[in-house]
Parts: sequence; structure tokens; C-alpha cells
Amino acid sequence: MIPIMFADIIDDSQDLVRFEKIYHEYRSKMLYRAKCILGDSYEAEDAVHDAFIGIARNIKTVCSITDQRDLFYYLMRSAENAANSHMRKVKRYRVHIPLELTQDIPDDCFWETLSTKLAYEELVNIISALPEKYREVLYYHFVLELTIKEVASSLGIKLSTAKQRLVRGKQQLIMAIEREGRFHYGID
Amino acid sequence: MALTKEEVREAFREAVAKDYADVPPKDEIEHEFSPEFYAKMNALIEEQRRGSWRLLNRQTRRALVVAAIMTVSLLLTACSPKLREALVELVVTVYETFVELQADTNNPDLRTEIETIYDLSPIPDGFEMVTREWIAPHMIRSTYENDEGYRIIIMQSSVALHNGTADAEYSTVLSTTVNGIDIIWGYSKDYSSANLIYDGYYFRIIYYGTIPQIEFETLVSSLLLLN
Repeated sequence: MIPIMFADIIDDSQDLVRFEKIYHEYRSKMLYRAKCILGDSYEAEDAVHDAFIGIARNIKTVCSITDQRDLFYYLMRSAENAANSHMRKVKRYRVHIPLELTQDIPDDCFWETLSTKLAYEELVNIISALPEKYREVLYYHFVLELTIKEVASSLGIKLSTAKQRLVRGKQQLIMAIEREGRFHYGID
Repeated sequence: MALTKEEVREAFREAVAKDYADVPPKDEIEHEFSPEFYAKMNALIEEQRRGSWRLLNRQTRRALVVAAIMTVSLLLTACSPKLREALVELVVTVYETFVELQADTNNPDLRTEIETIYDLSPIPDGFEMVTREWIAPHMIRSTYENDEGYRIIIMQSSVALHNGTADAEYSTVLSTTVNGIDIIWGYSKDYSSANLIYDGYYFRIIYYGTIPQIEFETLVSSLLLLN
């Protein structure tokens, strides 16, 4: 008997090959993040499995991600979101959003604001300070260049929720820049 | 000086990277995945191969009792049309925890479609065929089950159109030659597989359950021509 590597036979879908590669390469790291949230190995495994179900459903989106750093973030967020879903639900309170904050900022204006109003390091710091639920939507939409529908599917949230978080995420980022005293966008 | 769009994207990447700076390298993460996790993931991967998002029914792990004595038979050369020699070269790319395998598509002996269907004979005691389906013009899959929920899956495909990956981190991988045919075996908890190229086709036989190695080898050797 000679030890040798072998390979499974699958259909000719490159997506499936990619899925299995991701599974082999990242399952341990995804488990690590899930366990940080859940504190239990078995629950973390369940969360990781749920995360992979979501990844499988969105495999076309995942395969479109070419930058390894982007893929890493996507997978970590998948694991964390799955872990959070496993946690006990907490009571949520409705937060009144002032009417002016529901105004959406067009993407091109948003890009221009981010590009021209801050230095690089200042922008990094402000993005770091954003709440995760807004930052991830902004990341998926502007860095991974996913449509809002793809963002919703990837995060396992409703389309309306994704839209809402995108709008509020842009608003929050602009407001954070305003607080830096750099400029006034015009939200009164 | 204005930032470019790519610089803005880099700012996002740098910002989120801080959240995961504590994630250690894969090799430093001490965790042994449970058999249940592997079973669920194998089922999920198998579902992807079927092109469906539904999960398979989960199989309870039990010890296998095999009463049948398989007859080792590879009499194909005596009772079948002239067979193509297995001259397929496989390109194997070895990564740290898995292997990617691709057939040499320049080989003229590769088949591009299935002309002859191979099958187990005899079918192991207690098992019966539940499905035989064409996954694609170049791939056919036969599934057998017994009353306890154990499954045997035989996939036959034309080699020219296939590639794949395999877990090499948690499986024992072996190679033998049976009646002149090289077979690559994979053994892990509750999952046994065999991969071979014969008559220009690529075969993969999977046993979901616990089966003694010698009995699985006998089962694989019983592959015969289906008339």
C-alpha cells in the first residue's frame, strides 16, 4: 500500500471545486470566530455548518470575489452571523430615526465624499468606528461590488433590511466625517 | 490629495482587518471536528453535486454487518467488447490539506460520453437500487440503500470532463492494484471511497457507513458490465 493523495469525482462545476477549497481552507478559522461568540465547540460547529449552507447558496457571489482579503472577511462575517443567529434572541427596541436621516445619498456622491474629504488614515479610523451591521453592508456593496440583492442574500437578511442598512450606513459614515469638522454635507 | 476608489476600498479592507487580527493561523487552531460535523458537511457537499440546496437525511452512525461474500470478479475482458486501455494521465496538485485532480484532456483515449454502464454484481445483501440518474450526458449516478439507511453510490463519468478535490487532512489515502487496475482508496470515519479509471471512464464508489476495508475492496471489485 502506497500512501498517495486522491481526489473525488464531481461534476464539472468550477463553483463546486471552489466551494470545497474554501471548506478545507477556512473551516477552522470560521470555527474559531464562531466559538468566540458562542463559547461552545459543538454550537460553533453547527454555526459553521449553517454558514457553509449560506455560502453554498451564494456560491456565485463567493466565486466572484478575487481578493483573498475580501474572501476572508466574507467568510468571517458568514461565521459570525451564523453564530449570532444561534444565540438567544434579545429584545429589540425600535429606534426612532429622524426623517432627514432616511434620505439616501447617491452612490456617486458618497464615493466623492469619501475620496475627497479625508486622508487615508482618517478614513480607516472612521470606518473602524462604524457599527458592524452598517460596515459590513457598505463593504459588501462598495468593496465587493455586490448588488443590494446579493448583499441581502449573502447576509441572510431581508432585501428591505439590506437597503435600510445601506442607506443608514452611508448616512452614519457621512455624519462621522461631519463630526470630524471637515465639511457639512447638508443634512439639516 | 483626493483618494482613488481603490484607495477607499483599501481603507475599508484595513479597517475590517483589525477585527480579525486575533484569528490565528489554521495550524495553530486546536480543534478536532466531530464525526457529526463531517457527516453534515459531506451531506452538504454531496447535495451541491446533485445541484440541489436540500440537505440529505442525516445518517446515524452504526457498525456495519456484512454477511455477503463478494466474489472478486473483473471478467470484463472476457465477456465485454474490447476495452480501451487506461492511458489517462492525471494531473495531481497537492495542497496542504487537500488535493486537486484533473484529467489530461489531451489524451485521445478519454471518452467524452458514456457508452457502457457498469454496475455492482451481485448487489450487496440488504441493498437495493433506489435511483439511477443521469447527472449530465457525461455522468451517471447509481444509488443503493438498505433498510438501515446505509448508502452506496456509484458515479461513472467520462474522464475528459472531470476534476475534483479531496480532503487529505483527515482521511487515510491508499493505492493498490486489482487485476491490473490502479485504485486509489480513501478512508475516514464512516466514509469510504474508491477512485479508478477503467475503459476510459472515471469511477468513484462511495460507501456511507462503517465497512471493513477488505469488504469494501471486495465490493469495488465486483463492478461488472450491465447488459
